[in-house]
Amino acid sequence: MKALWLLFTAILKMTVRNKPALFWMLAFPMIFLLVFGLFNMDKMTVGRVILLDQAQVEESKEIVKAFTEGETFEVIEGIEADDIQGAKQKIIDSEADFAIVIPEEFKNLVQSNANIKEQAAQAQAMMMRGVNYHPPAPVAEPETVSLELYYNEANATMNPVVINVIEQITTKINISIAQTPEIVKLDKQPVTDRRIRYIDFLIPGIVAMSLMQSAIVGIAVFLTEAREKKILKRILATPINRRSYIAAQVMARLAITLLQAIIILAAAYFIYDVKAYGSYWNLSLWALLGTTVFLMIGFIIASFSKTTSAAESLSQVVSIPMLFLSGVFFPTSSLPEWTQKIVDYLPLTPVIDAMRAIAIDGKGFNETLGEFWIVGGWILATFIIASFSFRTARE
Amino acid sequence: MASKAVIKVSDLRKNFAKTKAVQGISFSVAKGSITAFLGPNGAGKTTTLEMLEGLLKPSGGTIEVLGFNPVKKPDEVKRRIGIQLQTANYYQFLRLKELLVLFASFYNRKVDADKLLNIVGLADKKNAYVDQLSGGQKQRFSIVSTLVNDPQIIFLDEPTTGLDPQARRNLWEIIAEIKRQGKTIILTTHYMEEAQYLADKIFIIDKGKIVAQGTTKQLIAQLPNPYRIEITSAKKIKLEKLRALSGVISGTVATNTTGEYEYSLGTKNIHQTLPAVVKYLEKEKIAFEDIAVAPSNLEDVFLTLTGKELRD
Repeated sequence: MKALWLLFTAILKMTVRNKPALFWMLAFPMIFLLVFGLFNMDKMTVGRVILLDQAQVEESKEIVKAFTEGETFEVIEGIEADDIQGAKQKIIDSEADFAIVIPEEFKNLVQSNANIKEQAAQAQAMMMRGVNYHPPAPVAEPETVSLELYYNEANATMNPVVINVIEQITTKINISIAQTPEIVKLDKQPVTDRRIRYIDFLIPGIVAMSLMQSAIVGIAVFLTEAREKKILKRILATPINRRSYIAAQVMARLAITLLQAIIILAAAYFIYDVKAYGSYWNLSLWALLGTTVFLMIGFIIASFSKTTSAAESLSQVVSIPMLFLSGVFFPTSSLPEWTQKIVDYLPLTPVIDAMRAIAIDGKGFNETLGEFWIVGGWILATFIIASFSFRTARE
Repeated sequence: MASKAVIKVSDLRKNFAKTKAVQGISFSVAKGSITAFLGPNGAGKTTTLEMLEGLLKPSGGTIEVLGFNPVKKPDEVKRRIGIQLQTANYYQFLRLKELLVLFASFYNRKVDADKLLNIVGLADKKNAYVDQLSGGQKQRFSIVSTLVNDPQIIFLDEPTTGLDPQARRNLWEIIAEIKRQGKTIILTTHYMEEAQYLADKIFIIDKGKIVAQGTTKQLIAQLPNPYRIEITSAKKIKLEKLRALSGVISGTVATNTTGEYEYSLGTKNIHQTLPAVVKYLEKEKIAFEDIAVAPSNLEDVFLTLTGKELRD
């Protein structure tokens, strides 16, 4: 037990004392954070929107108002409500980021909804007067109306933010129209308060990326070096068992990556005022889950690498493709569909998705169960491979 | 043997994929003694040691270390022994003191790191990293790291290889001091002076077999040529003529850096051979710079037994 603790603290000490490695462990994500943050903060995160309100009813004006009032969007004026072609041209010319069309049918939707409400009110009034009221056959369920959204697919950094916000607005509208129209007014408020900028989208990706890097490279290089220099052999010449040695490794690495995640989140908070809307406990839990998979991958790499440099390159071969494919910097939805299907099952993707769901959408852990099963599967698979390959590898 | 044997080995074998590293060796080690395995690289010294330490599984034969079989009870053996590996490396970013405390914890023990470091003269380096030590200091540290569990037997695999003569002597003193504390020491070396200086018993090992064993004196006495006559001359002498002299068993010649010839003649009967050599040189009017008589050493034993130099 004491050996486990001493080994745990020894690994922490070594990590902190290895100044160049420590520098890169923190500098790498920080550089991304600073560079991407500076580039996109002011210009790109204000979405320029064209609103084509063809319905012109009170409710549609409320939606337009929601966009006009907030700071998240800059509304571009001067396009006729039925000039969809003109709006598209603006997007192509990069004078606007996207256009939303509220079609005329929206008027009918609101109207039919009002009828339902009136009938309900009548029924209630009659019941209060004690009249045995037989309601007329219910009016058909209000039909749905699609808001049309035009955007430039090349605008990869803007789109996830915009689509996210619009999805939130439309869900709220759908709910409110189907129930009581007044709620539209109340619900638009949180939408404008919660401005989602590119940096908010980026930070969970950077956290996941850095924990992947430090877990894979950390464990693979540390163990390969210990084997290459016969440090491992010297340790196994003592009665300490392999299991304690590995347990101490895993615990120390989990602590290190968690600390790293906290530092990045703190930097993001202080520099860019990035806050998570969900629970930080759930974010930490996901950081630990992600680290576990990557540690196992690190163990597998260590058991297949003869030299430290081989372990280093193999770690890069495994982590770099995930870094670019799994949506650290842009959403995976911009990838071709078939690639996306594969990428969704890479271990980094669900970790990033879950962290974003918690940080940006304020979701709970229960709502990230889909990602949890994928990552859980990876943990199980890599654990089995790691325990076999590490046992057979000669120290 | 009077004292108790702490290690008993019988017909030990180890086959690797391509080589038969150890081919049936048997020996025992007395408590409190220093035993040296002397042999060239690749003779099977390290392989033998690692089997005794429980790090390598033998292909055949039996081993008993302090009453335990290292194959079946490796932890019982590991708990009671101290091991220094041939290439001594330790974690880079831990201080000497921290390393000793850490290693002691692997044995579930507490250790007075300062006291241990003092034994090997590294007390003032307790806060240094291993990488900041000189070669000799590193070896001293690697020896003291074997003491953290107060072991009964200490295995040292080539403890002085690559050190300068002064550092080597310094290490011999430390090893002798550890022996005085009542510990049994087993070491491998390819320096015959080292075996000669330290060992109570020497096993000469070559190609996985023990080719001779005993104390230095016994090994030299076994030789057909326990004495050497060494002649240094500026002029070349015919080696066949020297070899033909009375009592000469072996003869070699080499040139030294100043271009002189150095002859070495092995003999058993010095009384007979020395006058014959002097007489021959006078008769041939060969001026010699120097003539010396010396007992043979382990190098000669090795050369005679295996037909090759120790440090090939």
